[in-house]
Amino acid sequence: MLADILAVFNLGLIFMALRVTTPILFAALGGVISEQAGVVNVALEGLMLFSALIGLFVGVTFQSPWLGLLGAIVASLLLSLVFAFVTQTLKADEVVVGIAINVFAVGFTVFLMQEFGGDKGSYNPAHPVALPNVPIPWLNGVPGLGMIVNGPNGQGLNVMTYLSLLSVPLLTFFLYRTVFGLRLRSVGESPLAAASVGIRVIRMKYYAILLTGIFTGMAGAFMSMAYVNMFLRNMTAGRGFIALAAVLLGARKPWGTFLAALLFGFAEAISNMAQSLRLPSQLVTMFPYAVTIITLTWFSVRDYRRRQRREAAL
Amino acid sequence: MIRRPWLLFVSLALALSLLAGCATQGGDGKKASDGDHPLSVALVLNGTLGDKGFFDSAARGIRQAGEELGVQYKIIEATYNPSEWEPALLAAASSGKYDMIITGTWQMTDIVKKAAQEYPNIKFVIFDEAVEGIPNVYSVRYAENEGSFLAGAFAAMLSGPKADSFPKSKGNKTVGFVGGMDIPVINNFRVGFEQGVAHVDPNTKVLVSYIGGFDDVAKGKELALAQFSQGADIVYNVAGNAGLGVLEASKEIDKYSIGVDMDQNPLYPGNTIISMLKNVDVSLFRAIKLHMEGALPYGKAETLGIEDNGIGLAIDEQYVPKEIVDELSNLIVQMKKGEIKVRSSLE
Repeated sequence: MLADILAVFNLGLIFMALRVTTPILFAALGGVISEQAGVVNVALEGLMLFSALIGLFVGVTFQSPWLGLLGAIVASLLLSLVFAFVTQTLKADEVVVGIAINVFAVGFTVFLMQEFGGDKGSYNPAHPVALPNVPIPWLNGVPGLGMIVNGPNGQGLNVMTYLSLLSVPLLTFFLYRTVFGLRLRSVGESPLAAASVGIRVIRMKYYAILLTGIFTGMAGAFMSMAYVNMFLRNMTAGRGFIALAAVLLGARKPWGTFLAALLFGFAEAISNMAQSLRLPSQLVTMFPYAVTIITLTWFSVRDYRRRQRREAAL
Repeated sequence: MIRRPWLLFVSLALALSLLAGCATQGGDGKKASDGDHPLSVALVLNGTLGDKGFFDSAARGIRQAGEELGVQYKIIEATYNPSEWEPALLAAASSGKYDMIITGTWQMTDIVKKAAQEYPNIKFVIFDEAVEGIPNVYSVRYAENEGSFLAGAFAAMLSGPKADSFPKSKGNKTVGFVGGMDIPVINNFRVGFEQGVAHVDPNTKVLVSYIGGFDDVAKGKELALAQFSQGADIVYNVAGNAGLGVLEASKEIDKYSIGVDMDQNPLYPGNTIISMLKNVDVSLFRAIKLHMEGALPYGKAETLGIEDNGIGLAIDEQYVPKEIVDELSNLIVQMKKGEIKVRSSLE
């Protein structure tokens, strides 16, 4: 039994965890941008779901996964624009609108599937398109690394996985090393102060929401054109909310969020591998969520202690 | 060439039962129920059509009854939102338009019990669930354990003694099961599957995973990939829509998978080579027909097994050698004779 459990922890697990992490990481990085601009964006789930379907439609129609990716991003941008208009211009409550978008996405995707695919349960195209996997064969010579980046069957990680990993330093640079990033953060930090130096607060929030849309679009494209090559009703199955948790756990910063998303990815991968060991399934299914709660608690306790120490020092 | 003899068998049986039906009805096909209006039936689905399984199959049975028995019917899709289910069923009952209301799955049990008491003049049929003791409720279940037994026997052959006949099998003596949730109905599949495996080879390992829902197709794929990486040669999916991910996983790394509820073999030919069929359509057509003959045992719960075509197998003979098909047929014969008894987890 112990040998079985240890067998779960092999390098293939890292490969699997990176794949599991990808959609969560994309959505979470999107969430970081909104959060940094002071926008509570709980619509990640709905944006992902909507763009997954539209992306697949576009991709299948033109038989090109890249156009599909573009379609997914455009779809996500359009829905994000609605979110931005209603919350920023019309000043509706962000959480309420976010939830509305999530509910809308579930219903509307089923409607579209029925209209264009003739089926309300799944859209399983006869000629699916897939964003390519990128094997790096020469790394097979490096012990360990080959298994991590090429997987047990040598198929390689998906191009979107690399893109998601690359997004972390890029987003960090954008947020902390560019004028635009500085303005975006200042709007989140203190809208009044930002407005007083001439930054257009609402416009900046629009930009932030739309940038979030680009990332959720990529997350959606990964779901329907890489992770699996079909669309099912509600196929995102809560990943948008896990991403939201990753944003909060990662203290709204790209690298912290990346680590949080990776933690969830690993917890999920371990749970996937451990399931077949005949441990009680409820226990194993609970594992990723237990990890979430434990780490969140640990971080809050640490923050609390730090704050107390700081106050005591004054 | 006939690729799926069991389907043919089922349709033959249906055609025969139709002939028998015509004989008693004088062939007009529009027999009145109690007055002189045709029997009017509502099918209330706690979901939508297009699930490529259960609900589609139920609708097929009802449509067939409409065409062949002259029944008037309406299919009401109450969506996947649980708060819509009770109003939909009660609305159908209170409209007074229907003599018989059909619905399915364990989630509708309490609603049906309630409606049956409120509307004692309407007959209720609930499928895939056992409800007993209410005089105007008939319930029908499927011996999924029996069908899964056959699937398990097939899987064990493929991964063990007969691995040579299947180029994608490594003969690891390891097979997989991916279930939607760890609940009694799903576990009845598992129990049957495990018995089938043990019947062929008690040393074959069965890996078991649960998705934790019926939507997360990506997780279904992930779990199947995990099982394949742990040596499984074939994986059985019992997870509704999310099970499609299991089938896709078998395609992606070129292994085998087993379909469920309906013939899923055409989705990934060569990888999904056998499917366990739950013939909801057969059972509902049968129920309506028996009702018209006045022979439907209301107040009782029936379980349709391999014997009544409540379940069956779809085998893709392009990829499954005849010798193995024959062995499965032998098993079916033995089950019908009662020489093999398959335990159920629900009893």
